[in-house]
Amino acid sequence: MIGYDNIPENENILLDLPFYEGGKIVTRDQAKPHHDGVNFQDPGGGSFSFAAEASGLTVPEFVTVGGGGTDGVYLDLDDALCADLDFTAGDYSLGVWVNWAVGATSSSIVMGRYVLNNNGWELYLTDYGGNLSLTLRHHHSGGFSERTGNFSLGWAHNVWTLIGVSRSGADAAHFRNGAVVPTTGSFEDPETCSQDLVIGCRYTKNADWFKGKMWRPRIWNEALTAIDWFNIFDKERDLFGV
Amino acid sequence: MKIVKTAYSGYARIRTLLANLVSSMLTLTETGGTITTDGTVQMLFVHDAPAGVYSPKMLSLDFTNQSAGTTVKIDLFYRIKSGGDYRHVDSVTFADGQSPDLKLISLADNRFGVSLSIEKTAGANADYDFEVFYAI
Repeated sequence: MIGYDNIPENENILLDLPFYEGGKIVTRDQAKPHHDGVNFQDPGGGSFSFAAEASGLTVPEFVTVGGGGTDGVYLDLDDALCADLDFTAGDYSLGVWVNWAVGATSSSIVMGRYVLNNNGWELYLTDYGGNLSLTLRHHHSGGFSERTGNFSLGWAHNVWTLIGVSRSGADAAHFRNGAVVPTTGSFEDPETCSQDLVIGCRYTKNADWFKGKMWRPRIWNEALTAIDWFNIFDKERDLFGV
Repeated sequence: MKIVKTAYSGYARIRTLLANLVSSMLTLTETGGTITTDGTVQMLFVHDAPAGVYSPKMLSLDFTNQSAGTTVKIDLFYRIKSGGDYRHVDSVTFADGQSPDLKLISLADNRFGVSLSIEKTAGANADYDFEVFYAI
């Protein structure tokens, strides 16, 4: 047996949600900070569905029915409980397995803690005219621009994919299934944020719904290396047959 | 003597064998938090459908904040077949202030689901710190 905290990729992990609870409202964080109070939210139109993959792993499906204000579902965590996810400076990483379905809106927020054009960070997928991209964006109330960030192309619908981003300084490396992919763009530090963490929707919790399946969103306060991302992918790929 | 034929050899084979060995090791993991009782049945920990055999180890529950006149009940449920219902395994009741404050409840191995809940049945609501260890 090996201890969770002794696995190199887990040394600086802040949030780790494996969604073991099935259809319960609360989901537990197995990272050391114990972010208590990550809740599944259903505004009314969409729903969560839990089903097992061929491997036996049960994952939630975000059953989004449209692009309207209550057409999707999401998870959130009260801002007072996630002050440690306010990355105003320094390195951080975001990771999650997704099986991204075609939705009603071009943007699908994967996760974020932000206010548009003001503060914080967000990670989202975009389907714009058949160009499928992943963007990490910082928001600014001051500075040179209201938004800075970078994006990568070549993402896909309806296949399990490990998303990884490692932000360090003015750059953020993007990783798809443990392998680095080219990016365009650069960053300034985001302004401090006191917004709820959201997973699967816009910060206003009424748009940009993620549609599809998702497993184990994770956040680190370090920039994971290419070897870290490869190791994560290599250990978990069999759960999804990729 | 059994001859195992492989399509690869040398370093690639060693690497694969090591990877298989590491992948087969359980990872001792923990979760937890603070739960505020409210008189309803509240989830402490649920692993609803493990991907395979895993090993819940222990629930730790801190009764420091429990006052005289308060009673809480801890219920443990297991599912022991795929698609089956949860079955009640045990119920432990703690009344009034506790000494020592911290209680440790052992858990058994499982393959199809485990659920732990807390319910305040009398007295005042309170905050209870808890953690659950499991090897997965």
